[in-house]
Amino acid sequence: MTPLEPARPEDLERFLSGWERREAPPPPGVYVAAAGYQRRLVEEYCARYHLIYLVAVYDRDGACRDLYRCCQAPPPAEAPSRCFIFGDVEWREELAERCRVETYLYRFGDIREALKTLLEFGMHVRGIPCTDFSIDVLNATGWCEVDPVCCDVSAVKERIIESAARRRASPAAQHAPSGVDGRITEGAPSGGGEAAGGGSEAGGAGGGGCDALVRRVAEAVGAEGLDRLKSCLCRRQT
Amino acid sequence: MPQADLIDSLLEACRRREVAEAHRRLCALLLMYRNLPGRGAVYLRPTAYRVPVQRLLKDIAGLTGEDKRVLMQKLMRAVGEAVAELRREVGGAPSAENLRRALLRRLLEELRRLA
Repeated sequence: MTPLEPARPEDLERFLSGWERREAPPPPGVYVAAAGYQRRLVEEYCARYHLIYLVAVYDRDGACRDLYRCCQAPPPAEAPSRCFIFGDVEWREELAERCRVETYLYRFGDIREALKTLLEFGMHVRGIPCTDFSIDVLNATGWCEVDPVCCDVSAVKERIIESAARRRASPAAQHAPSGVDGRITEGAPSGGGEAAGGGSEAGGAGGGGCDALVRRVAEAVGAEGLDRLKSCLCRRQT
Repeated sequence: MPQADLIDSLLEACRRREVAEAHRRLCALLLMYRNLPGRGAVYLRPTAYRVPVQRLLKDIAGLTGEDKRVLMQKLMRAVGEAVAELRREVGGAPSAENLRRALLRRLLEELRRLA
C-alpha cells in the first residue's frame, strides 16, 4: 500500500477520539494490510502530509501501562502479536529523515475487536479495497462471511462459468430478441447479456441445488430440457 | 485472497469463449487490472488495452477470424465503458496506485453483483 492522499481531518478526528497520540514512528507489530512501498510516491506524500499509523494494542488483562512499550514486549501465547498496525506504508528507518509521523495507540481486550477496528478504518476512512488486507485479518474479523468475494472467488468463478455455459447451451438465449445468431444477440445491448447472466445466477443460487440440477439436465436431455428448466426457474422468480 | 491469485483465477475463466462473451465487463476489468503500469502517472485510454485483449483472444480456443473480430469489438466496448467510468472517478491521468484501487473497487463490485 502506498499513501495517495490524507484522510479527511474530520474523519480522523471522529475515528481517533480516545486514541493515544504520539509523534513517533510505529512500534514493532503486525501490519494488517499489504504493505507495498513506492519510494517516489512516499517522498511526494511526505513533502506535504504526515504519515499516520494506527496501532491496536492487544492487552487482555489491562496490564500494559505504556502501550507503546508493550509492543516491544514478546507477544502473549494466544496471539501472533501484541500490536497490530494499519499504516499507509510499512515503516522504515529511512522515512524518519523525510516524513513527519504520528502514531495513534488504543488498548483492546479482544483481538478480533482490535483487527475489526483497523479494518474499518482502512476500508471506510482510507478507502482501501478489502483485498488489500491480509487474509488472516479478513478471516479473524469474520469479514469473509460478510463479503465473501474479498476472500475467495472460487464460488463466483464457478457460477460465472456455469451461467455462461448455460446461456450458450440455451436456445432461448441464442434466439433472443433480434432472432439472429445467438453469439451476436448476446452482445447486442451492451451489458444486456451480463444482466441476463446475473439473473439466471440469482435463480441458481436461490434455488438451492439448482446449479447441479441444471448441469444434470444439460447432460441428460440437452438444450431442450435445459430450456424448459429455465422457464421453470423464471416462473419461480416472478 | 491475495490479489494476484484472485485476478489470475478469474482471468483463467475469461479464456473460455462463453465466459468472455457473457461477462465482457468482468473480463475487461480483469484485463485492465492485469495490465496496470507499475508506477507513475497513467494516461487512461482504451487503446492501451487493445493488445492485452488481442492476447486474451489468442488464448481462447476455437475462435474463427470472424468470431475474434466480433468478440474483440465487444470486449473493447466494455473496456471503453470502464475507462470512461474510471476517468470520471480518478481523472484522465491518475497515478498508477489510484487507478489500481479504483479498478479493484469496480472489480469487486462486479463480482458482488455476479455472486
